[in-house]
Amino acid sequence: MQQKEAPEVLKSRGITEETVKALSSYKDEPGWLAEKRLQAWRAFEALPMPTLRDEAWRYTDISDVRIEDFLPYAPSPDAESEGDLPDAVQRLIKEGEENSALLVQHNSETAYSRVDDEVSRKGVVFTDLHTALREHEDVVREKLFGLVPEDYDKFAALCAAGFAGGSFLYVPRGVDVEVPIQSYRWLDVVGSIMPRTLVVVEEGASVTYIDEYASATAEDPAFSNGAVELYVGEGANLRYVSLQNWERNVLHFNTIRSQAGKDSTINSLVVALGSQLSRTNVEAGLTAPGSDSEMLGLYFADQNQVLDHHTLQDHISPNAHSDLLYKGALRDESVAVFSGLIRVEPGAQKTDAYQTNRNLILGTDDAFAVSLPNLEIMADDVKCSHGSTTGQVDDVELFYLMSRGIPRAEAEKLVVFGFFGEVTSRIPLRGLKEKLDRAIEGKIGLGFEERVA
Amino acid sequence: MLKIDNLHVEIEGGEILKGLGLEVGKGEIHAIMGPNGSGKSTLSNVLMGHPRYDVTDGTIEFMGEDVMELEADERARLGMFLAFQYPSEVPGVSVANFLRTAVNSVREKELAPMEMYRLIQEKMKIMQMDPKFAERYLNEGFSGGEKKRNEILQMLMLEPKLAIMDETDSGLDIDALQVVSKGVNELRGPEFSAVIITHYQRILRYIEPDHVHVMLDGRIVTSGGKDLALQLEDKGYDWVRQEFGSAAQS
Repeated sequence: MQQKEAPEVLKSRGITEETVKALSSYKDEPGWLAEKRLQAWRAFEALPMPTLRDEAWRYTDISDVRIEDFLPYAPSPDAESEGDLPDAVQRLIKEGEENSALLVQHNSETAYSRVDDEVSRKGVVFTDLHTALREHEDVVREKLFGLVPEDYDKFAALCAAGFAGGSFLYVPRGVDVEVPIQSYRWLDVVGSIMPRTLVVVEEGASVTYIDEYASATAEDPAFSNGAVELYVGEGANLRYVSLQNWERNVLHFNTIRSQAGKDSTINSLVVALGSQLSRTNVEAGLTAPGSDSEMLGLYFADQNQVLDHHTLQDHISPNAHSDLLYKGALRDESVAVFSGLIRVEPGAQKTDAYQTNRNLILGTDDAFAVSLPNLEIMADDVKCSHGSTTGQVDDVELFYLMSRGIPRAEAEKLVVFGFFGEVTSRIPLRGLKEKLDRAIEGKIGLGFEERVA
Repeated sequence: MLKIDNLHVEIEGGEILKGLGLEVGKGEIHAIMGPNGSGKSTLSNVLMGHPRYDVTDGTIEFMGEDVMELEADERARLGMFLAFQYPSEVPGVSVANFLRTAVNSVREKELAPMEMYRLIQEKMKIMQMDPKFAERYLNEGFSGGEKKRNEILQMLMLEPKLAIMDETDSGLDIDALQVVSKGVNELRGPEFSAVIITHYQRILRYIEPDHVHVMLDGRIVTSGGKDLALQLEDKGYDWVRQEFGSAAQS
């Protein structure tokens, strides 16, 4: 929510130290945060831009990403009610899951937020990050940058230095939020959006949070660079969904990291459908005994999209469980990269960890799926397994379906929906599931094999 | 109903069917018996339009129409059905969803959801299947017997004019065989024809054929009534080879 005209330096392309300072003073930030941004800026400047020679970027070419071309900050009009939001955003809200709290970040600023009385009465806080800095500074100061620090990588450094907007969710001890909480990041200018999501779920609390990214159609490249920090207390439950459905001009970078309390459960779902290039790091820290992390992923790449997921199941404490399933479909000339690591630290005995990545190639020889599952086990009493498959749709399977009168395009659709069903059937959110089904159907279009009509 | 003439089929360059001919009339049940490797399964797959086989010569007509250029779904919509020997597993697609999609694909008008539900329940009862079966993923983790029952269930739902049954009896115990046969007999009538492809005559005790053909080395070498099946049971396939082996080579 803007109070005053943004300084000139925020309206010119590229990010400099001046931009970072201007953001801090424009936002009237406390000294520690201003200092943190500068520290992050120095980290960003010191870190080289990743290239194909870096192990973690071997298959994802970002040499075209020119951060200096993007506007660092774009204001947005405030909305008094949901009815004032852009029509496209209203449509997203309507088609989405029912929610008990809602926040819309329009470009670099929060345009609208709402928390149902029933939820706020229980002490739940859901607001933009700058409001949280004023009203809950202690919690924010303790947790922000704790899981995605500025030295995590080049993009995390930039996000720490130049973030704007962002959201803060706090669920007090023992509070069960039944209806999901939702945020939308909406971009309709050629520029950049750098939100930070901070979620703190206290002991014994329970909540579902859906973070969705979408934009208006545009030609010139835009830049999205986020960081998500999820703190889940003892015995608490968090279901976190990241749904990336940018238009094709957007380059998307995001790092999602979680910290799990004793006997807590975190279910994450990371969906990548849109953008030109998408790189998401998803790291679950099994940081306390008995913690449990389910990590689901769904991606569907078409045309010349590049969708890249790097995951880590970081078993630090004993008796923890993690189960990862990432499934992706590829058509046309797209590229999908999955690189997953299960790391079991020396003290993490009785770890139970699974990792599966499956790719389905749809009627093309030009798509490229990279699947790199890895284990690094430093304890001796553990159960771990990993697996990975990449294959074409089986023509015998299609023949079987078609032999029952089902036309080819319909049969292909059944196979693809069946393939993703293993992931979507594990999500207890009806509205979200329907949204995903529609998106998958749209991606399949009129069938994926090029045929002469 | 079905007319096959001089059918030659290759897979990966090897010829499997070498000039096979067969005519099946309306309302008739034909059994095709033969030893392993005689080309029985190739015949059933080719009739349905399997993509991995090459038809090099001959014709297949169904209800007076040349089906050779038709895709499997088009053949199915004409009224052809194949009960597979090894049905594919399709993870993530439930039996109910599959049946709904299939039935609505062959019908001119879509069936209302309630009617569809009732129809599925009714046919599952005939096949002595647990109603929960409809929610399982298609053939995934099914036992051999469950897969075969599921094939016949699909046949009952689609009500084809011609059913080709590729070794539906293999691997079934006597109870399952009776249930499967009951399913086939359910459809039996003047408008329904079937080609039962089998190694053993056991299934023919439950589904009585009008005609029996013996297949050897890619051709039908002899045909007769149901007695031929009994004769075959007595004398074994070695007798067929001795009697007709030279004919098959010529």
